[in-house]
Amino acid sequence: MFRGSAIFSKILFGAVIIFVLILFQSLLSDMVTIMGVKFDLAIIILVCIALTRGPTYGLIFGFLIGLLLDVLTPQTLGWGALVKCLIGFTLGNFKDNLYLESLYSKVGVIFFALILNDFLYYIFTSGVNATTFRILSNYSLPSAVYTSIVGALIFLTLTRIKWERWGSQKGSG
Amino acid sequence: MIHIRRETFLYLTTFVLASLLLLILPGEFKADISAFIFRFTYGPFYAFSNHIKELEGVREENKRLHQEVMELSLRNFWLNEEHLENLRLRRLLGFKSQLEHKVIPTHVVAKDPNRRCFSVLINKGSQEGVKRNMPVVNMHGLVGKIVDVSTHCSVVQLMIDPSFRASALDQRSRVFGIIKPGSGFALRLDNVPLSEDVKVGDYVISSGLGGIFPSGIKIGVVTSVESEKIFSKEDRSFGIFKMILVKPLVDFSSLEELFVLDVMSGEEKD
Repeated sequence: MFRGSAIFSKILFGAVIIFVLILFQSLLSDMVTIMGVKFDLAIIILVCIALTRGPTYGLIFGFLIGLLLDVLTPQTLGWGALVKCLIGFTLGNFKDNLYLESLYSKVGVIFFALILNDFLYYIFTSGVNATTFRILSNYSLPSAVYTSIVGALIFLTLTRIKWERWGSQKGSG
Repeated sequence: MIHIRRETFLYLTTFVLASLLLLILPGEFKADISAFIFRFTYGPFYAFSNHIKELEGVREENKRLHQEVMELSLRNFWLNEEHLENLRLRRLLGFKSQLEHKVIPTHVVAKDPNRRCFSVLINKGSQEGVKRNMPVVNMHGLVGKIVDVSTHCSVVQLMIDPSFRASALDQRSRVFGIIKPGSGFALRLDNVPLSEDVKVGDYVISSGLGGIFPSGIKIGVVTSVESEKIFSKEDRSFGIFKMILVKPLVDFSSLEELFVLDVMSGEEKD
């Protein structure tokens, strides 16, 4: 009975996360644009999950989130899933192996995760050339700063409501 | 030393292999899989969002459209007169009329989620006659071209995509150049020699060269003209071109209704 409720709790947790991401991407992402710069909720969610739930959760959610975003750009289907899966797995390993209690370090992780994610995405779509670095400096850097600020606010809120407990009964990772 | 649990390793291998499998799939399969997932995830949200947008300001738009219909009817009358006159004169000169294209009206159903927004997804696909490389326009001018087609949706590469190129010309002086994305939403008209006559305020239109975009589609307005010096290593000389910035007529941040031009359906009429 208890085992069944734990599995249900995990599935519900995943469904809520996916629902929030889809809702944001389809209805809200255009409303939070500042001077053409958007924040990346997918990266914030991925970092939150990986740092609090570990590598297994990190890679599963990385794959699912990446796949959901790839759907909107079919020509790169699979690449976003692969990149976010590996980022989720790598960050998940930080959970037990690095000191990441402070808010600054978590925000730093969001910043670098976004830059890494974009860098790998552009390498795949444009190759390594001047255009890649131009796009990185014009789009990714401002977005990384914006995402880090929003990420800090989300981390502060989540810490207050002690979200780590949600859906993590007998949690893996 | 990072220790990886056996279960985690199994998940990692599975998902990496699944991602690689998706990557190596042919483009058509990718588009079909994406369309299938889209229908059950984003589809209902975008449908809801589009429905709300459509209802917003319908009354105002109706009023405005009535006014516009009146103006256009009047203008159409005069244009018909001029068209007939033009045909008569062309016949006298032995010219053939311009190509006419079938137009496929579409709606934007999703935007590139990766913050850059270099492409959009439209709700028409191969079933409705959309094909790869067909030009896409809206009422203001050129938007981009089709790069991926599935059964009922297609991906439009916008002009601001870093890999976008199109042959264009200055409408006033008929000077040719290559239109490329600049920084932000701006465009650049490259390969225009310094001696050529291009001025701020000139309209830039598609030239028809290259075979993808028909001639005469408005692209943007010249906003700045400067000289650019490029050092060529091969012939040890300086090539001198103009550096021309073009403001696109299309607002890429608010694309809704687009039209795909079926250039292949054009018929030459005498």
